[in-house]
Amino acid sequence: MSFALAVTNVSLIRDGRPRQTVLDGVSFMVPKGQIVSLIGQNGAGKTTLLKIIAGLLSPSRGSITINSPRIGFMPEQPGFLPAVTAWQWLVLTGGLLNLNRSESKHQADLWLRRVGLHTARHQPIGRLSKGMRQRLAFAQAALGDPQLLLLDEPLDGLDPIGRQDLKGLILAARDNGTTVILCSHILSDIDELSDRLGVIDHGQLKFFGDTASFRADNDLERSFVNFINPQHV
Amino acid sequence: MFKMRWWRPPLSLAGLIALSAWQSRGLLGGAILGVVAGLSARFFATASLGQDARVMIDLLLAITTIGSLAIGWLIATNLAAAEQERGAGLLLASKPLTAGQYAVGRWLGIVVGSALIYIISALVGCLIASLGQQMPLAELSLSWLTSGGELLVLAALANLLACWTTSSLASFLTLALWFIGHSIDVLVMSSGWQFLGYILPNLNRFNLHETYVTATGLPGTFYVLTGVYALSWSVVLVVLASAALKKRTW
Amino acid sequence: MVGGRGLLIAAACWALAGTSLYATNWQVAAARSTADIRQIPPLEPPSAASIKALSLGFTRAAADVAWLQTIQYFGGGNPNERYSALTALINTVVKLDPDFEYPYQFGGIILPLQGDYEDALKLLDAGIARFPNNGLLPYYAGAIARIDLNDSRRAAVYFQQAARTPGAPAAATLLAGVSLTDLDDRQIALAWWNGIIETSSDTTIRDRAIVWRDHLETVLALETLIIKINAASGLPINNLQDLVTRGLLPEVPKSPLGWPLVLNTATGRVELLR
Repeated sequence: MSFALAVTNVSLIRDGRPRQTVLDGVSFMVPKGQIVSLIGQNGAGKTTLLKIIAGLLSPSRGSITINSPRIGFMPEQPGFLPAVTAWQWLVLTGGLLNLNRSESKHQADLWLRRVGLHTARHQPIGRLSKGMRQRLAFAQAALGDPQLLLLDEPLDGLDPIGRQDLKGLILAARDNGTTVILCSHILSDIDELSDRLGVIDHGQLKFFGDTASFRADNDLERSFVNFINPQHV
Repeated sequence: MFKMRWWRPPLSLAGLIALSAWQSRGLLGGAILGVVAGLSARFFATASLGQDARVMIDLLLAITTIGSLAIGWLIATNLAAAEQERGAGLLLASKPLTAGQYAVGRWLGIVVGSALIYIISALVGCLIASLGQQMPLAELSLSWLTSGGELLVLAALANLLACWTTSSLASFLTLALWFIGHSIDVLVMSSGWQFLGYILPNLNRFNLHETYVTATGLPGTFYVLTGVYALSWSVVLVVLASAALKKRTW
Repeated sequence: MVGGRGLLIAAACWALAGTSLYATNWQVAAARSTADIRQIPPLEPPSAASIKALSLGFTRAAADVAWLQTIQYFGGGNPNERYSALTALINTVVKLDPDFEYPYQFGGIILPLQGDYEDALKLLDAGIARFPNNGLLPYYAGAIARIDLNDSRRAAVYFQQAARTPGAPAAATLLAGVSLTDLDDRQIALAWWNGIIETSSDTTIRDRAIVWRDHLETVLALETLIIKINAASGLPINNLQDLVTRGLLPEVPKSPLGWPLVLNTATGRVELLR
């Protein structure tokens, strides 16, 4: 099969008063080696869908088929144990991925260099800036070369140079055959990175296809606003 | 489950939590407190200060052992349970760990994280008690070592509670259950309720000092069986924690 | 690890835990039944001040525990040994709870038996101050002063106090008088005996007081006579026989108490020869 991920009729209903439908019958297939972006308004269900794919949430209905043996996940607000250093965190994350010690150290060294944290590797994470922690979160997601990368707002909090560097890493991962699914509000970055686009509105997938065909002649932001709220035109 | 492949992830998780505990100032503070209190007690034990000093020795001994031990696993539990609150749990849970591996790893992290303080307080406590010549040092050390089983059970309890509550509440609930666990023997003594002493965790079994004072010539198997008791209850509680973690949503 | 296999493992470990606990309890019980009683080191109780500080306000409960410790120490000990910690233990109890009456009496009886007279008296003094209506406490104190310390002055004070306090043995009245009789001031003693004779409703006490009064009057009369003769003549009276020899008395007088009398030339006092 050439698809990395198949989401079939996934719904998530949260119990409560009233019951809340977070996702409603979402279906799409992601080819291998592509960057797919999910966009939508706040609370549309993007992060929830990412978490379902990552296995952190179970859908109320539907199924997820993943053809990638290893998944890397970067949450929107990455948290760490602040007293641990970046080096220690990545080496032990390698252990969580069942890499042996030498391989863990090699991967930790590699990714710390790639995300530009090699000089700060022995600092406690609590002392790193937001941008540095964001880069560390990307590094721990990419550790072990996963076949599927799930990134929730990966460029949030980064300075322009940092964003450029991380975009480069995402593109490099795609070029290496990794499938990337990312959520972002920065539509200019989405436009730059994505091969395909999914638009989620009130828990439903309203569009899934080529980024260029969604954009048409407009810029992506205008296209998105027009799509979500036609009266806004 | 018995292959290294199964154990590597939980050991790595344990390493993360333990490192976080050791490298945080709070645990270091607890260790310093334990050492200072212990050394102070040693000073009182050797100085000829009279009867009141003896009371202070006992009090400081209690502070050294119980206090520093409590600080140790309170901090470690707090750190372990706070991973959900701090968001580190999302990163950890997204790794290919089963709920069981996660529960085992977190439990081991609490044990190892708080073991440092336990070891310090145990060494100091043994030294003080042997200076008072209440027990031979070798037997005292063995009883302290076996009392470490209590740490295993409490860590498992804290691990289980941390699945449902905030880190602080889990820590304090565990502290309360610590006292209750030592009172199970009272229930055992009451007629008709003796079975409770066997089906609930009886932490008084680890009060080997009390046992040693009144019963001599305990066989080596006693210490082995006490260790088995600790491990058995730890496994029960870790299994319950893994069941709770499986149901948890992120 | 969760699911059927996990539950099976948990159940097996639960059963193992219960079994190992049962086994260890059995081992402890067996060890206790066969082992020698572990030598308890000599008891050195902490001070009442430190216990009071540590009892966090529950000083009466602490006193109860200290009292239990005291009676277990006394009750379980070797009767050939001195109870060296007994004074400290009792003092701890009464300092923690000064209103606990019985330890004062207990200490007043037991401590003199092992020679701790002054300790006993200190304890009884504290008890007397706290319980002025307990006649036993000054009575015991008087007994210690008179019998053990041979101190008639202190005995007299204690016995007088006891005689005035309800609950004291009837003999306190007599013992007060006897102790006063040993002292220098005969008039005070005489007044005490006359007082008993006039006020006592107990005929045994009264009869005894009469005898002691008569003894005292006899002694007073003899001493007065000896003082007069010694002042008048240059030849002092060395013994009571001299009074007979010089024709002043027909015979050496006997005390109404039944014992012969003897002159103590050092003090000039006529005393009983027991």
